[in-house]
Amino acid sequence: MARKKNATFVGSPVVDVVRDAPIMSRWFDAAAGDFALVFDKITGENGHSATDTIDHSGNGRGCPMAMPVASQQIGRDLKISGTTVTAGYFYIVVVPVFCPVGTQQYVIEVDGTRFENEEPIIAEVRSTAWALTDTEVGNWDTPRGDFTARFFVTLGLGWQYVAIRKWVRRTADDENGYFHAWRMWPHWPQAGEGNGLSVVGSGAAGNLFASRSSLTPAVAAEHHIDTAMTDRDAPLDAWALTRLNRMIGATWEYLTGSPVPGNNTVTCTTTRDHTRASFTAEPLLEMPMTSVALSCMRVDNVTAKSDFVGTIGTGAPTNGPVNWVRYPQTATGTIVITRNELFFPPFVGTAGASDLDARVIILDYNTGSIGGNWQARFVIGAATSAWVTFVKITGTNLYEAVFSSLGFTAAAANQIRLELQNTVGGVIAGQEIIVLGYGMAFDV
Amino acid sequence: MPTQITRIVSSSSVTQAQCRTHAPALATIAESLSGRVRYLYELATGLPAIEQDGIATPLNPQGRAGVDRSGPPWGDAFQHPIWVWEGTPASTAIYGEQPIVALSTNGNKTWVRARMIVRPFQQGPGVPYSLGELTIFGIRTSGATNATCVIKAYSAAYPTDDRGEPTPFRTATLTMTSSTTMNSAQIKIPLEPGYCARFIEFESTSANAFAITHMAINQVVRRSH
Repeated sequence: MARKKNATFVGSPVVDVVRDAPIMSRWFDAAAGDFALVFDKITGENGHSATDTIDHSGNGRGCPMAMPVASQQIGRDLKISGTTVTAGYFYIVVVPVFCPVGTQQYVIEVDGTRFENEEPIIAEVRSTAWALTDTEVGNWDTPRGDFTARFFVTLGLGWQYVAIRKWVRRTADDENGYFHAWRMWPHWPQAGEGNGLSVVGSGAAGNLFASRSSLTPAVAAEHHIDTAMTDRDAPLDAWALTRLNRMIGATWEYLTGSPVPGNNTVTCTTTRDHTRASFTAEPLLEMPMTSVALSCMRVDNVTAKSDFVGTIGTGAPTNGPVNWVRYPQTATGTIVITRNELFFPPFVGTAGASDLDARVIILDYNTGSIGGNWQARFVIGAATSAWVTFVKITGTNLYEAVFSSLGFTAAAANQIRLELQNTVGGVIAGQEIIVLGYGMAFDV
Repeated sequence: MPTQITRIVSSSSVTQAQCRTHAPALATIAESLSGRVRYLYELATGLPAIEQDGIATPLNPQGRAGVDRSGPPWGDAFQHPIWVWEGTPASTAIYGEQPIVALSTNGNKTWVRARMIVRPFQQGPGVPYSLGELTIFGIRTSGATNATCVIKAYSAAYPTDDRGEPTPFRTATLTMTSSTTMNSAQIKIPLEPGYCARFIEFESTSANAFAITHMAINQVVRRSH
């Protein structure tokens, strides 16, 4: 006795299931085996290979979710103040970005002020070692009323950096340099275009039959279709037909979130939430949560000392595009860099279980050597992470703090705080940093 | 000329009664049970169940095959951020913070425009992505009593009624009770798939000054509002 399950999808020829077709067991054999295959792919149950479950990574493992990376309002002036900083290329966005499997083509838009004879605006994709992996010159247009530069970039898998370089001028030459907003989202092939078909999903009259009121491993195991029931010459009994019918209905609701065709409401109480509460082998999902830009930096300051003027603990910067920077002015205590509110999916919120990761990138714009003196942490809802020390990206003045297995409150709004601290607890001569941005993602 | 499929596909259901003992052996039963399994397979995997047949199920709002978790019937949607304008109250510890909005005179107004990209979704009343939850955080910056602000959300076109008056989607009041602790208010605002812009208007309704520090729009439900 064994559970009937097909290794690959079989299906039934149309001639086997039409009116006046002879009643043969093979359609039932195929349907029962195919159903078990689909059920196991979706739930990960019954020892199904973890590399063949539906994790929305494409290539037969489910349609990519293709979640947008960012829609961030900036609302900052890009004019260069003071006299010591000359016009030039600045990175107006430098953010960590996470790219899940199956979604590597992205669109980036930057809303800002464009000037006559301006040098090109350029998007760069860089590895975590700051190696250039893709670049594209943007095309300014006015599709939204204001000037918008659009880019199409290809990301590598996992974490990397996205940087936008724009020519920035001094106040005397450019009174209206402005950075309104930026957005980044996956290329959706034919968004909004269907193929003329529609899934029956809600409100259809009839209430023909109820799906199972719950869908759990115990139910699935208890009521599976056995190979003996689908044998040739085996009676096509009502128990097996009814069971398969109900299991298909329950799985329909579990997968689509919609009532089975003909029903008015969803009756299956188990939802596909990837918490492994119902199905212990349910695939965990990867998706970006957000990428947030916090400052600009001069492009050549990746390796050279900046001509920004300002010293931690002694005052504000007076030279450069100082309207679009964030840097600590104190070297003691916990410094709240920024706040946000993010609504998290229903994934397991315990640290580590769903693997919420994050990265923060900063620039040491004076000496290029802050050692292990600066640390960052996140407060996400009720969870406070450990302090993480910034580590230099070799060959640059950039430092990153890498967080993994962060805690959060699932299926709820989470107040986010990004905080910094100086472990020395006082002013360190020559140490001046700009916080460039952070990114968060579920990275399993 | 369309090619015929080689394996049955169906989304038609059959009742439990039709499957019971002594029920007539209708072909509908076989067609439904076999066809719905193929339907499920393609929705789950995003690939044709039978390669030579091609995709025999509907394309999702992205234009791809399979459930993409953009809301029923394309799977439960996930809650996630849609739009952010981050920030924190002004502090001597951090340079570069600026309030999104700072008003100090009763009756004064200002507005901002939120520009965002919303995932493609099947449009309809009450579907998850049809309403985003806008949360606005503010703090009182002067006075000893509450600072209040009326917040109105408009469409991108800043619509007006027959009298020329703007007609907001939704309105909320943010009451800021403290100069040290932020308060927040929420409004649900309609969203459209793809690029979506919304005007958000702030009107001071008290004599005390306040600052809006940060805002966010999130997708907050899985199946329906």
